[in-house]
Amino acid sequence: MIALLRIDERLVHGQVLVGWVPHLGAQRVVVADDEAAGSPLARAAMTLALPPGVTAAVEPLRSVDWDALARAPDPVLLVLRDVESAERAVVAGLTPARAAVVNVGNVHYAQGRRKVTPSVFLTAAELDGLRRLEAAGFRVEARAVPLDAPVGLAEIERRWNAAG
Amino acid sequence: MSVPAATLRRVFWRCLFLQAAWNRRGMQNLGFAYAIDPALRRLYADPGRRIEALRRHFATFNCHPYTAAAIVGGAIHHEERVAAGEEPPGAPLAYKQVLQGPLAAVGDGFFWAGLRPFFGALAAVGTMALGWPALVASLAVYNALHLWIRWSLFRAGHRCGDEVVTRLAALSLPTWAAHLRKGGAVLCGVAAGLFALSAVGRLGPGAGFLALATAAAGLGALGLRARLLPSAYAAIGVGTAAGMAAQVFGGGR
Repeated sequence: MIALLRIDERLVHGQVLVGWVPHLGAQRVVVADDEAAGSPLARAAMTLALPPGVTAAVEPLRSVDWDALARAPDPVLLVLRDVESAERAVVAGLTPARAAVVNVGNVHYAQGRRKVTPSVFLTAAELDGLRRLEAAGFRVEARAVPLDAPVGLAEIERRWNAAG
Repeated sequence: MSVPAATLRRVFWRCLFLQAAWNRRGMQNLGFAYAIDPALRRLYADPGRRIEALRRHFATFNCHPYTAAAIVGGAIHHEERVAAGEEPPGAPLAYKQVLQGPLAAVGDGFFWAGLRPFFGALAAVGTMALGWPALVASLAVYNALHLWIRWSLFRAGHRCGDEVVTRLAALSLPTWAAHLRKGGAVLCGVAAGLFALSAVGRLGPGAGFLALATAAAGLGALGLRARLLPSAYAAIGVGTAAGMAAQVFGGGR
């Protein structure tokens, strides 16, 4: 099963491996990202920090077998780079039945992005993307680590509007 | 073209202040740019090129402050090649962006969740058993160790560039971190046992029960909020028992 779909610009890092992996009891991390999959350095680096007993795969987004991940007996942590990748994953066959929660962890500040949480900044287009994901049946939350309180879409929208 | 050793030492010294200008937008970007600046001054005699190089290090950067030393070293490795015209100007930035997340994870797992808690627990037990010199010794050893590791990472990054990943993988830090976590849990258990029994010695059995109940409540709260591995609970239990046994058979303080 896909225990969590994580949106994180930094892909695999401490919040993911020290926070989420033990929290979910995941033994497998799947990074679906074209850029990382195309870089030998990135692929090698992703495996550096894995705790004993946890494996990681880095695959181009289009070649991920969503159904196989959803059917896997063990909890899988799926990491995508940005909101746009999550939407591409939905086009490629990811459904709310396969991954119920879309967790927005780290989206860094850039021109045109507004602050929603200390680690999540969104453009208008990204906010629309999250609305579409929620409308499609996913539960969208902004949350960096498991101990943080999840921020739901309504609150994300409120904060985004207030930050304008 | 390569950066002279004295400049490298200067950059490393500045690496220690990586988080001094931490900010929400760029995170450690200013600290990174400040650290690498002496190397850029050596590599780019032309002010225009130097400013262009400095600007690319203002991009958002965030890593573990210790393991980031490898990335600063590796960024200099790539800047040397950019300055010599062997690599495109985007190479140092690509290197930083790829490695910041994974190296942050290595640092968080090994230093923050392994080595530092271990030395904290060691200092606590040492101080209870031997007094304040144990505290000073634990702090001194911990600091010497992390400074040495940071310097080694910085030099490996500068020498090997991308190959630093292979070097790091060979150290199997996550496995060491797992051992350190278990060792730290045992030490915490020993500290709890020593504390409970010294309370009994001073204030009678009621105080000992209270201390143990508090310790159990703390452990329960920990278990509810963060999932510890079963081995960590076992280690804490064994450590507590060992601490109590040591206190009972050693005659107490």
